[in-house]
Amino acid sequence: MNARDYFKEPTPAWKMHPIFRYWQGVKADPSVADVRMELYRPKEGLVYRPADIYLHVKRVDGREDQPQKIDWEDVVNEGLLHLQVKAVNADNEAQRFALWLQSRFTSVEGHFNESFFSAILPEAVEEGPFAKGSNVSRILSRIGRQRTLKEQAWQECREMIDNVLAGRWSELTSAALLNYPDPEADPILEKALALYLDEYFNISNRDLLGWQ
Amino acid sequence: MPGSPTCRRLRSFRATCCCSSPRHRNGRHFEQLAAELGLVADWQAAARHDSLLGEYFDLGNIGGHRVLAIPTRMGSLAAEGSARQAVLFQAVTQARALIAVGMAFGISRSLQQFGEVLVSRRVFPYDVREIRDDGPRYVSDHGKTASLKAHGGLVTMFERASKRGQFPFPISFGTLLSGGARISSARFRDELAQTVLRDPAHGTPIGGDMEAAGLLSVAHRWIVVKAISDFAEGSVSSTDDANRARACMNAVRLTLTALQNHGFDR
Repeated sequence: MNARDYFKEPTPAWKMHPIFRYWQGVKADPSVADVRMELYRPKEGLVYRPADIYLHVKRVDGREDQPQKIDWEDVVNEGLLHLQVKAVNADNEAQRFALWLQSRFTSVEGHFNESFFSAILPEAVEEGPFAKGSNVSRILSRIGRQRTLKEQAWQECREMIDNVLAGRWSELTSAALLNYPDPEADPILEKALALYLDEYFNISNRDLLGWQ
Repeated sequence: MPGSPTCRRLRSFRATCCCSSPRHRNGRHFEQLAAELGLVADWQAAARHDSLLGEYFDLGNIGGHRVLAIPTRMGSLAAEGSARQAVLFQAVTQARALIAVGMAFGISRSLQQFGEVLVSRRVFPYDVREIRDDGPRYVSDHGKTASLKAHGGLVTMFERASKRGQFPFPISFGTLLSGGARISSARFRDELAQTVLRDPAHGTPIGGDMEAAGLLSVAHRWIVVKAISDFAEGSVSSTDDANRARACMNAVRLTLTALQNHGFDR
């Protein structure tokens, strides 16, 4: 066996996950009309409870199975995206993508450092397509700005932030994934970004604690 | 130092160490819950004493982990404080993980409750700061203070336990403030919490203690699991004993249940 055959294209982690393979089988079942996911992540006091996913299966005869609960894992969510499993409604989709943004942004944060990332992020959002959205603009108005030097790392961080957002927009709109039309995808991602920013910058928590 | 027969024996099994404060008889809560959960039949037989290590308890195998319960004194710097105990037991046992268990203060009476268990995603060591002159006064600046992340596998273990267990108390995951001050001032507590809250790099503050900072001296897998016994407002002596006992019990219950039923990435 030569190296090209030996080192063939690696299989992505989500494809190897047993939950993906199980739900792939469910989706292929001819008696299944639709599968939806529901993110369950209530806020308790100052912090969110660790997330769960409930999967709802609707049969072609109209019956609905008992929802199945699984732990949120990035790899599970990625698998569900590839199975074209949408959330139960737009609001829940925004919550799902807020958590998904958190995961994707964490790797950008780790690549630079947290303080640097947190200084660049509002700048990047402000110059992006969602800055004028009502949810995002409300949050942006509450975030203090830090002066940043527009050096090489600044440019790289900006590009990585944009890439994270572009990747999520692509997942929402791609025909091979969730296939939302643009007029539906835009407000979902705008709200997801606002939810993420609110949590990351502790905006609602400041209100809850009475600290501005 | 780690050459005694006891040390050699401990090193051979790479334990998980739970450091707890004995001041409020936290060890008794370990004893009570370990018996209730069917983990340790004979507590007396679990007690150990070594001239170097002092007093500790070998809880045996819990969920595939060899678990030692190690008493610590209040604070991290005292003899038998959390820093000394963490460094010493880590060196001697080559422990895979350190879990600090005990009592904490909460930061909001309206949003939290006594007995609520706080699990650290991060620890913010507030004693690490710059003090500099500012006119006739001085200012305390945390601008360069880094918060440290708890071990991701341990966080996941406690997340799973919190979701799958039926616990009669809330469980929150966030940032714990830790330092040497015995805080009896809502104003000081709020100042610290606001410092953390203002900088997204530190996460969301949920409470604080005096021992977690000691674990940071051990570059290893650690996490802090403490329950709210007070809100750092009144004097320490005014804290209700029942709240202390409940806090210890809850933190120990979550820890033993998590170790028993959920593994962590080794």
